[in-house]
Amino acid sequence: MTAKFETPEEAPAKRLEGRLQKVSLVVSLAGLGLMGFGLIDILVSGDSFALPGFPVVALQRLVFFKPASSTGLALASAGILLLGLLPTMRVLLALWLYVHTRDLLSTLFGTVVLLELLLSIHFGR
Amino acid sequence: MTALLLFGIGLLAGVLGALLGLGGGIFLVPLLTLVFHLPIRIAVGTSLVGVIATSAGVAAFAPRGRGGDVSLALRLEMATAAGALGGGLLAGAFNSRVLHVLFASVAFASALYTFYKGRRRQPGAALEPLFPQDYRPRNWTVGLLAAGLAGMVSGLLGVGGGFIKVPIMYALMDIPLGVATATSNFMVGITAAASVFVYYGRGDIYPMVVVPTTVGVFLGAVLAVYALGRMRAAWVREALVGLLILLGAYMLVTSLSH
Repeated sequence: MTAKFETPEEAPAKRLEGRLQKVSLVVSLAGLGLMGFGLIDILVSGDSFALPGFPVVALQRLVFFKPASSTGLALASAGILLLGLLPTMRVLLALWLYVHTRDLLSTLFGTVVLLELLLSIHFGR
Repeated sequence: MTALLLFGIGLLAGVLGALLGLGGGIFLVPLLTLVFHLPIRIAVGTSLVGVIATSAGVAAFAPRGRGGDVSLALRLEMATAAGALGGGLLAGAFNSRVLHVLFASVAFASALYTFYKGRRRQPGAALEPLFPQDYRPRNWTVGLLAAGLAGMVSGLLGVGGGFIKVPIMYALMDIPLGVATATSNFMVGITAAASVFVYYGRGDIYPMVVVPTTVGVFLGAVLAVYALGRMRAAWVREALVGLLILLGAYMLVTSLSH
């Protein structure tokens, strides 16, 4: 009978995969839920399903809870934003684990990718 | 009816995008512009959210050991991002016909090399596993250079680049095909996230289009995750080669009509 051991290199990778899976599941379902409720609210409030409809609510308006033209539109916009933030959350999570395991090279690569993402969020404001 | 059609298009893009590691944007943009006559900016904005949904669906539902290699993804993504930045800056210097021919050439070269790589396996050898546990990436220097070049082509053409990343990982770096597609799905999610806020800030994202499409894409990606567990590497490889040839041919024909 052979016993299966985890090598020290394998353990953090498995831990990271498990955590990424949980975060991806929770955030994507929350984002899709908000988007779905938002669309239902838009349709219930009397708007017909005509493309392309109205654009998303501006980021500043959402972040500072300023009133939007409709609650449904604000909910759907929040869902889209949440889903859009997921890749950044995944990179942050990976980075956090690399820092804890002192994997300097992966920390460096992850930091560069994270900076690129943060810059794009800054330019998107 | 329109919402159902959007959902169906999303479902198809999600299945193909997740199976082949392409994200799905390459199917969504032409379908949204051709079927719904949406302006290209709205189609691209929708497709970026869709690509993130594909990436999320694969990450959330992939069985343990099949979620992609995060460390490899971040290393290659750094080179890709640098290349994409250069490509984006150079894009204005080329005319549309040159870009279309470049896209076609890259697609044909990727198809040819992926096909050759599959044929090189010994006849009668054991079935090629999609997700072996004991692989080791090779040719890092060539892989990183090629990833930078893929990023440049992505930046020049305004596409995610999954169709170049998978052949690079599989054919050049000896990454197993299943791991390459899952890793590419992780990477295209990051690439799409880098652009989606720009489109959001410009007001090019429309919930009425995005919501049904994204729900379809997410479900399609989840279906693909389960399908991939029952597929052989050869089927995925042949589908990838076929799709690359189709894309290349479409781009060549488009370049002639310009």
